[in-house]
Amino acid sequence: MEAVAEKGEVIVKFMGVLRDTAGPEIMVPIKGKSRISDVLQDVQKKLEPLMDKNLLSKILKYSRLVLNGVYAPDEAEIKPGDVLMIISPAAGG
Amino acid sequence: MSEVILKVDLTKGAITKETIDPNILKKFMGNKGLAAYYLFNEIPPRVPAFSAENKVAIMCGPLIGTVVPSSVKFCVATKSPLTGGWTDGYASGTWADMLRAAGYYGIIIGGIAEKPTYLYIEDDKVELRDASDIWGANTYETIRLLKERHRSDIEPRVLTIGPAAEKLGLITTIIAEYRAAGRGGVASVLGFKKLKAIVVKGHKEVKVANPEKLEEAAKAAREKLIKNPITGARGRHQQMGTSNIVLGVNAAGALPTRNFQTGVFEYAEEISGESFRDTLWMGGSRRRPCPRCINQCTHLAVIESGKWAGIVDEGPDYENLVMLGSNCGVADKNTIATAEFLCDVYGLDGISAGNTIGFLMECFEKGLITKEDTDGVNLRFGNEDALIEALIRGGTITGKLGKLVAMGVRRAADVIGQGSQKFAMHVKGLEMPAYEPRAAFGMGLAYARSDRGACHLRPWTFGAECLGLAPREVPYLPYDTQGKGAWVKTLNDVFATVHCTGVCLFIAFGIDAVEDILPMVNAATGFNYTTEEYLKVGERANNLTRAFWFREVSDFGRDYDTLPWRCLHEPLPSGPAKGKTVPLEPMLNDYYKASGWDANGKPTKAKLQELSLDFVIDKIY
Ligand code: SF4
Repeated sequence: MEAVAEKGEVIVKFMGVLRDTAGPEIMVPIKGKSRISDVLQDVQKKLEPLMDKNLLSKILKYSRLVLNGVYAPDEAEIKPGDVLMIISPAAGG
Repeated sequence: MSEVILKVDLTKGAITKETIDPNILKKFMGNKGLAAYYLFNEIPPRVPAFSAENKVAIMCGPLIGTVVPSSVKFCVATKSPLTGGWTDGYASGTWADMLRAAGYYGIIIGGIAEKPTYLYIEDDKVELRDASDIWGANTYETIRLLKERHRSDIEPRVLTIGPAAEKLGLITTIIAEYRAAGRGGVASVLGFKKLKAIVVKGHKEVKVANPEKLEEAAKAAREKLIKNPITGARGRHQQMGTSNIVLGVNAAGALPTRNFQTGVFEYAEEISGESFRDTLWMGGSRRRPCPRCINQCTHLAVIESGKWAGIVDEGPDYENLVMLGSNCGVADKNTIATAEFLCDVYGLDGISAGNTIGFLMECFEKGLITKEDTDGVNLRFGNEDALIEALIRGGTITGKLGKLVAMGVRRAADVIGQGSQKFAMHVKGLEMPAYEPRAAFGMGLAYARSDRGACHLRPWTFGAECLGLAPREVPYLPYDTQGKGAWVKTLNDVFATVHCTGVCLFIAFGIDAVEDILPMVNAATGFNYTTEEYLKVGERANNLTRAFWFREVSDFGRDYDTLPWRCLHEPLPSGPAKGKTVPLEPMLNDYYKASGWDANGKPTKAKLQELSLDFVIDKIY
């Protein structure tokens, strides 16, 4: 079932290796004006118990970020109810 | 190391064995490089692809059959009847191991046999035999029959063509031990030559220059691969193979949907690797790995219920899944797995078939063709039965629909006309594979100038651009053009080098092409390549195949390095890449400059000399 954001939360969806670790999506609370980089820090904290810290920070540095369906830079503003998709490493062919 | 190839003249029924000159072996190494060397020199200029003079090269790389992980990929190459230019393709599995165990590094096949024939190789015994009784059999049936006939102390390995190639369809592949090889219709060239199959049995050990060093380097590579979250134990490849990326590609807006009309498929979850894993692949436990492979990307799909119940086949891998799935608007996993099965048994190229059928579906929906042209088939997007029917007819080349499918998308568009060429999705006549280039400009450049027509692995930039395999920086961002030409050129040479070694490209996701693979190549060959010499092998191969195009096609040049009209002029309607078209020209300029090619994309004399390709110069200048 798709998650629904509570007031003050963003939905973070995962593709690639992080989906195996964190599941398809998590909710991340945000306060007031935030940026994607703030959310990434929170994601790092949430997932740290689940995988190697250095590997996780490299993955987050490499992942592609899609905010509400559009690529966005780390410094883009993000507000409650937004959907941030983290496309983390995966390889095909 | 000394290596031997077989030369087969089907017209004369003659077979000779030739030791490869060590200097040539070092320069061209194997697979693509060596195939290009022999075919450039042995195919007379401008002969038709369907002619006795055209030749097919089947070639190994130096790591095949050794202790190296995933050292299984062999090459089949020829002058393509689909494109009129160079084509080479690769298969994994167990066939090439056996060829090397029989003592051979490759086979060059020319001439035309009088009647259906197969090549039988058992160590030093090499013979042409009558294949009249198996001509017409599908690939799986041929493999079964020939295995039964030749089983002894060891199980024979069989490479074969299917009915589509016998009837000279143009979008065919060879099937070697259930794995497909060769886009661009290589199999049909064998069909024209009446060579149905090659059966191999070998009892020899593959000799390497330094076995201890090779084991040491292979062990280090294995350890790295195991630790990697993509290639390692229970990693994404083991769970879902290459299809693990379906959702990521869809999220990037690059999943070809309904003949590339958009890059977002509303049923992506339904056809995702995750969904296949949890159903037809039984949690990823039904794997069919190649020998010595850690990634283990191949899965066995078992259809247990519904109208296709009982079908068991390997796959589908990402490419076939998408081209036979979302590109045809089909979201039913059983149908997609059945479609892949049909491609395998008829020896059809699943990418080209899915692409061509998607195109015909668009023509049908736009009213450019009617049931008159499809022999009554309601060829609409998402019609599962129509997809299956089109594949059966294309595989057997039956009726009007079968002919349209079997000729590939470029010729089908020429027959249908009415402006349909604008959405015939091919490059140089080869059907585009399963990445939307408007959502990843590097893929657009890769398709446009690939040496076999639209190819997803020359190089595969998509992972770096859209799937987080490279940092969020120029030149890796999907819509950047700055620096992209030089980056794609370098990556293409690296990919070609890896192809020449004989390891599966997919292990390069877990180990480094230079740091890890080069020591293995040196231990196996004893050639002591420097890094520069090693990477030149790929660059040399890429320049030689480029020269092949210039020699074979009189007006070849920049105009051929392009993309379908749709990619250049029709903005994507949805997804993160909404509004994008591919800005090809500046990237192409950079690519040519980085390659040492002139403004028309021709390798300069200086570049050819630098790569020790002097013998090419007077053929193209
Ligand atoms: S990654 Fe897949 S294709 Fe490559 S060697 Fe392994 S099982 Fe074979």
